[in-house]
Order: sequence, then C-alpha cells, then structure tokens
Amino acid sequence: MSRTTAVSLDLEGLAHKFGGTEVLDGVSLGVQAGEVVTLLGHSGCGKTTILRIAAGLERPQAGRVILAGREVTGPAVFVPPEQRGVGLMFQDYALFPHLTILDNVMFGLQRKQASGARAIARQALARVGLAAYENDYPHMLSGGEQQRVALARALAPAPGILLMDEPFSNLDQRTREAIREETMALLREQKTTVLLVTHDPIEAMSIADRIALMRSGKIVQIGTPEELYRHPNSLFAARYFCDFNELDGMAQDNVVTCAAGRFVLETPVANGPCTVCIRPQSISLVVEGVSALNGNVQTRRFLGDADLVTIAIEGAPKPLHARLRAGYGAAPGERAGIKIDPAGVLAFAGCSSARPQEKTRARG
Amino acid sequence: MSSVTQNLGFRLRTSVIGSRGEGAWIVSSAVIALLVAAPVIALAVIASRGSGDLWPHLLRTVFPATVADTLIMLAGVSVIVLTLGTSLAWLLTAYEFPGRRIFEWALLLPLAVPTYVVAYAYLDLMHPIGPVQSAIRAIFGLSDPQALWFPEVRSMAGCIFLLGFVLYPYVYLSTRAMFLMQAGSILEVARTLGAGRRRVFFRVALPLARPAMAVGASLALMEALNDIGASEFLGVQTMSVSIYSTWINRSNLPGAAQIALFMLLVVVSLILIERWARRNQRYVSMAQRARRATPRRLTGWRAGAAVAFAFVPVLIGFLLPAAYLTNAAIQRISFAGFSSSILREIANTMTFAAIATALALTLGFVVAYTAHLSRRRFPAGLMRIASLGYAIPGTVLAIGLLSPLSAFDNMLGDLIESTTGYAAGLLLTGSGAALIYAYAVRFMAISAGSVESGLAKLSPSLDHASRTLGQTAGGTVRRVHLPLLRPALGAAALLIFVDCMKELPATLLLRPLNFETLATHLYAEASRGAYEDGSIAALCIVLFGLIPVILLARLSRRPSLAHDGGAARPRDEALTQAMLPGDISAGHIPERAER
Repeated sequence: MSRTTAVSLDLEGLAHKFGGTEVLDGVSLGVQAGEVVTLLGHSGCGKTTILRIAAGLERPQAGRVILAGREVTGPAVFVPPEQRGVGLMFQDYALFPHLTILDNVMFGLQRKQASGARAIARQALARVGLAAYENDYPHMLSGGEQQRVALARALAPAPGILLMDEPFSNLDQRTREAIREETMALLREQKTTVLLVTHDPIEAMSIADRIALMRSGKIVQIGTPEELYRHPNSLFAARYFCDFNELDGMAQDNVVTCAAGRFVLETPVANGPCTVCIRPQSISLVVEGVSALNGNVQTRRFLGDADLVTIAIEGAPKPLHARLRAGYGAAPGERAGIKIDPAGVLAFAGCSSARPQEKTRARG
Repeated sequence: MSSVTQNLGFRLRTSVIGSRGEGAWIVSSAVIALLVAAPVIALAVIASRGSGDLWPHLLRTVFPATVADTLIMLAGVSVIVLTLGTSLAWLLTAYEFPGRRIFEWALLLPLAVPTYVVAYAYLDLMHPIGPVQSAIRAIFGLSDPQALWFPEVRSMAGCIFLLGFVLYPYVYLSTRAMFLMQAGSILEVARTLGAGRRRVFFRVALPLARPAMAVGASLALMEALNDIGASEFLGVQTMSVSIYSTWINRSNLPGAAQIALFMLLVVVSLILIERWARRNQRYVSMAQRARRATPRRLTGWRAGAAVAFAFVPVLIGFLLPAAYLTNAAIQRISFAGFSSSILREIANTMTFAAIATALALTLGFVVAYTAHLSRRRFPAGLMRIASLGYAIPGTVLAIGLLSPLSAFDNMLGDLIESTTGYAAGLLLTGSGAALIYAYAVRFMAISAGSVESGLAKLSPSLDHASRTLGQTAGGTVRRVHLPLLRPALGAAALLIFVDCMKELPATLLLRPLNFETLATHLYAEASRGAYEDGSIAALCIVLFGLIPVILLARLSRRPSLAHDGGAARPRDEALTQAMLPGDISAGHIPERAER
C-alpha cells in the first residue's frame, strides 16, 4: 500500500431530510489530517448519513463539505463520489461478488497501468495477510477475511481519508477486538484520516482521537474519549458511556443533595432540582456505621474481576448498583456502610423521573 | 454445513416424516411426471415412423426456411427484449424522474397482451387505410395511400418488433428484481473507488444481473417460439406455423412431428444457454443487507428523455393496441350488439381454464410437495420433469398428445361398443379432456415452482413440531403447509387461469369440434381477414390478462419493494415467482445459491 497523504475534512452546517423527516439538523464537524474521529450514536441518529454525504453518495439540502481545503459539496458545487478520492468501507463490506479478491482490490486502481495496479493490489492484500487468496471469490472467505479484503480495497487507491460505516459490527465477538486492533494499527501506520461510524461506546473510546456524539441529527458533544467519559455535557451523553445510578437531587451553589448524601461537584450545575448520577464503580462498601450512608445488600453477582451488588438505601426508589472489586463486601441480607467517591458523581439540571422515551443505556 | 450434520438433518427428517406416506407421494409424482413426458415420448415415436417420400420433400422445402425464419425471429426478439428490458430496469432502479412510480408498474402492462392479439391489433392499426397511416397522410396533406412509404407490418421485422414490445416485461421484471436486490452499498462503493456511472453499470450492475437477464430472455423466447397467431398473421413461417400447416393443411402428422422434435431441440438449447449464463450464480447471494442505492434525480431534458424512453414501450406494447381494441369493440357492440356467441365463448374459455387450473394446481402441489418431503434426488428429478411442460410449445404438445389419446379413445370406444353395443364416441379428444390435459401439462410448472419456493422458505422444524405435536403427515399438510402456502397457491392459480384463457396453439389443435374459446375465435376471425368481430374477443382476453398484471403492479408499487429490494413480502414474491415460473424463476437464484 502506498503511503497516503492524509487530508482534512470539514463539514459545515449539514442539513438533510429524507422525505419529510429531518435526518441531519445543522451538523458541523472538523476532522484534521491524520486524525481518527468516530461518530457515535444510536441507530437512526444520522451518523451514516454524514458518511454518505462526505463520500458524495448523498447531497444534503444545506451545508458544505470541504475536503483538503477544497469545497466538494455546497450550494453550487457537487463533486461526484468517483472524483473525491475518499475510501469507504461498508458494514456489509460490499465486495463485488462477481470479481476475484485481486480484481476487487484492483477495481479502484483503474487509472493506473494494469501491471502497476496489480502490483499495488497484491501489496495491499499482502499487508492484510491475504496474498494467498487473490484468486478466490468473496463468498469463499470468512467474515473476518472479507472485512480485510474490503479494507485492502479501500486503501489500495491511497485515499486521503477513509470513511468507515460500522466496519467491525458484522464480525463475531471473539475476532472483533483483534481485527479492530489490527485495522487501526494499519491505519495509524498509514497516517490516514479516518471518520468511523459506530454505536458501540467501547469501540469508539478504544480507537478514536476524538468522538462526536450524535443524537437525532445533531452532534451533542465532541471531545476526546476521556472528556466525553469524564465530563459529559448532558444526561444523554453521560448515560451513553456509563450505566449510572440516577437519583433525584437538589443543587445549591455546586453542592448537590440527594438520598445518597451531599456531594461537591467538579462541573457546575444550575441551582434547583437536578439528576444526580453516580458511577457504579465509585461506590464501595464498608462496615456498617463507618459511613453516614448505610443500606441493605440485596443481591450480589460474581462477574470475575468484579462483583455487582445492589444495595437498598433509604429515600431512593431503587437500590443502588455498585461494581465492587471482587471478594470485598457483604453478603445479601446484611447491612453495610456505603462510601461514594465524589469524582464519580455528576449532576444535570432537571429530573430523571421524567423518563426519556428512548432507551439510553449504551448497547454493544 | 459439514456433511455430517447434513446427513444427520436428513435422517432426522426422514425419521419424523416416516416412509409409509412417502411411497404414495413418490408414486403419484412419478405418474404425473410420466403424464408430462408422455407427449414427448409419443412425439418421438410418431416422428420415427417416418413419412415416406414426404420427409425428403419437407427437408428440402419447408425445413430450411422455417428453421431460418424461427432462428432469425428468436435472435431479433432476444436483442429487443434484452436491450429494452435491461435498460428500462436500470433506468427505473438507478434514476428518479417524474412519473417513475407509475412507469414501475405501467411497464408491465404489455404482459396482458398476448402475441397474437398485438399482431391482430397492429395489422389493422398500421393498415394503409388504418388510423396511423391515415393520420400521417392527413398531417402531410397526402391523399393517395401509395404516396406514403410506411414500413410493412406483415414482415419479419414487424413480427420481431411487435413480439419484442410485448415480451420485454419478462426481462424487465427479472432484471429489475435483481437490480433491486443488489445491495446499494456495492454500487456505491464502486463510485467511491473512482468508477463513474457508466463503469458502475457495465462492470458491476450488469455482470451481476446477467443471470436474471438470461432467465427473462429465455422466458420471452419460449413465448415467441410458442406463438402461432402473430407469426401467421404477419406472414412469418416459424416452426409453430409450419407444424400447424404441415399437420392440418397437408395432413402429414409424421412430418409435423419431425418439425416438432426439432423445435424441442431449440427449446432444449434455450434452456442450456440459460443454464450456462447462470453458471456462476452463487455469488448473487452476497448482498447481505439489501438497501437500495439512492437513485439519481434527473432534471431538465434528461428527465424528459427518461419519461419518453419509458413511455414508448408502454405506448406500443399496451396503450395503442388496447385503445384500438376498445374503440373497435365499442363500435362493434353499438353496431351489432353483444353477440350470444361471444358470451358462449367466454363461458367456454372460463370453464376450461377453471378446470385446468384446479388440475394443474393439484398436480403441481403433489410433485413439489413430494420433492420437499423426501429431499432425495429422485423426487426432485420428477418435479423437474413435471415442470418441463412449460417449455414445450403448444403445437408440439398438441401433436404429442393427440395421437396417443386418439388411439386410447378408439380402443376405449371399441371396448365400450363391443361390450354394451353403445357407440361412445371420442371420450377424451371429443370431450375436451385432451385440452385440459394439455393445459395442465403446460402450466403445472407455475404451481410446482410456487409451491417449491414457498416450501423452501418454511423451516423444516415446522414439520417436526407439527408431527411431534401429534399431527399426521396429512394433517401437517392440511393444518400447517397449506395455510402457509396460500399466497403462493393463490398467485399460481391466478396465473394458470389467465394463461389457460390466453393459450392459443394447443387450444387450436386440441379443442373439440365446433368448440370456440376467445382465443380461437380471434384466430379464426383474423385468418379470414375479418378484424372487427374479433376485437371483442381480443379485448376480453386483454382485460383478463390485466388482472395478474394489475396485482403484480400494485404490489411492486408499494414503497417497501422499491426500497428494501430483496426483502419483499411473501405475497409479492409469490406472484413474481409465479410470473417467472418453474425451474427458471429469478426468485430461485438467491435461494439456490445459499445451499
């Protein structure tokens, strides 16, 4: 695979409708050359549409796409996909079933001489470890091998940017992580710009330089994985990355009070009713009476490296979920003291009892 | 799946089904397959008897001309149906233009016009003093019919043109289904790899659609080969016409049988070509998640051109002939009323079609169900044989049927007369039983194919569940399979019924004396050159032919078919499957590929 020159991608004020339904509502996003950015969100939030617009497969009603400083989609400009020099990888890989593996990879090298194209394609296949399969047809390969062919094919023309739509979700759980590591290592080595769509927060955090979290056609937060995880700017963002314990509380001058106690917040929140979110892993159990907060241990599940414990506390409608280091704490039916690390407590204005319609628990 | 698990599955299956019932199913299937094969065997026997000195004569005079005419006609028709069908299918899948949703189904309308009806209509439409030429002369101010040069409809070119414009929907239907099934992502990824629209079409979409094109074209060519009316009206000496004239006009049955055998050879080569074109069809199943590629919106003159291009086939293949027939029929009725003979013919046609439909449906179900039950090679082979009737042209079938049935009739008649002293007459050929037999043989493939594909979608565990819950084999058929197959059977019944109503060549040769159906009535009128009276019969045929087309059109107009492509609903599939019947249905391609 020849060394690529990574390019930047800027999306400005994209708006798009399918029929009457709004899919994108003013999306702006800048991806620097060589950067890996993931678009994260539930299905139907518009993230795939962004990829399609960037590739030129869809023309938005409003907004601009700027590739390497050049406008490729805009009110007056539209460069067709075949002239954009972007690579695209689909969730189903979209290998051409009637072409051999080598011909698949050569498909994007038509402007080069046949012999040169073949050499580049072979090199690309060798890079993903599939040189021996060049005369096979796609249906003869396993899912993981097909994924690698798709990768080799997308990278062979040396695109300045690679757009990936859920590229790992068709792989089974066991191979997924290994192939993800391999793929991302290869892409980092190539220094390709990557915009990747996924719904899996763990996947997004493990590969991205930055994550753009989306909700119903809008980007709700952009930042490094750590920023999004530690400092989500909304209850939605918080819930996407963590199964929080949520309690109704009251905020006053950056101090929240709820059934689990009083906490000083790192991130400020408006005075008044609020939702207090406590990470399960920042809760620990101590001997009863040591802490001001005590509760009844209800269940305990052994998960290997941790125990999942539910503890009923006074004033809270639901028991707290705690993720404890293995082998520590009390058995079901016993009372225990509860300690909460304030670093794991967040608060958002508004009440959590007004349940949102969508299922916000992170999936995958 | 490894062979071990496959064998295990097989054992489980047979152990649950049990072998007691299976034997009866297989015997019935074998009898049905034999009934289908009988006319072909009889044909070979007749042909081998030779026709004395007539045969060399035939070989010298009739044969070369008729073979050449047939092959030229087939070649011409295949060019038209392939270019027209494929380009229309691509236009309506890859582009968005005003009226696309209407054209999606309107392009199917010519299916409602049988070949002999379109020829009948155009003979009058294009007559020197007919409406088209008169209008053109009026525009240019010409008065003398001789002054205007106009292409002659009664010619090979006219025949190819007209057949092409009513038969292209077969290619359009199967190819469009394939284009819709192709995952949009495959076409889109080609774009991002630097391929322009033209290259995407020729390097990706077209090679992937080739099997479907082969299916559609071979169906269209079988229709063209089967046609007797259009070629005769238009003066093209195809083999169907030659068989008819050799037999009826020259009373030379062995000679006709020899031409018929040769015609079967052409059919077999058509099937082989079609098989060959589909040899690598495995790969079609690759589209895992069929999301249709976003069609490109055409504007300005491009949109106008697209509309015009899509409109012309509808105009030529349906609107013009239908308008002409409606007008002629109205004039005829207002002039002479609705004759009682037409009503009797409608009754005749419908009675025979209904009986034949019931028979074909039952027999088709038996062979397909047997193949499903045992999953061995032999019953599956029996089903293939039983489905071959669809490929046998009507004239060939008639010749193969008539002489064994007459022999049987004579034998039976003699037997009855000698035992009871009562002259029974011709029981089978005289009563129309022979015609029903021919219909059933010819159209059984439709029901067998529908049932086969319907059953293939049902999980084998349904059988197992039903049997372990105490149902017998028969009870499983009645309470589980038949209800689930209802859409497939309904679609098949409709198509068989309409196909029987439209059937001309076999009807012409096998009907009882003085028995007229709508199709034979039209044929007789057209042969006599009396066009007006046939128009009512022709209109009736077109109207009946419209029923399945409208149903198919309504289904394909639903947005879900347009957008999910392959993920069409069962009824939809059943009808499409039944439209492209038997072994050669486009719907089979992905299924077979998965095995």
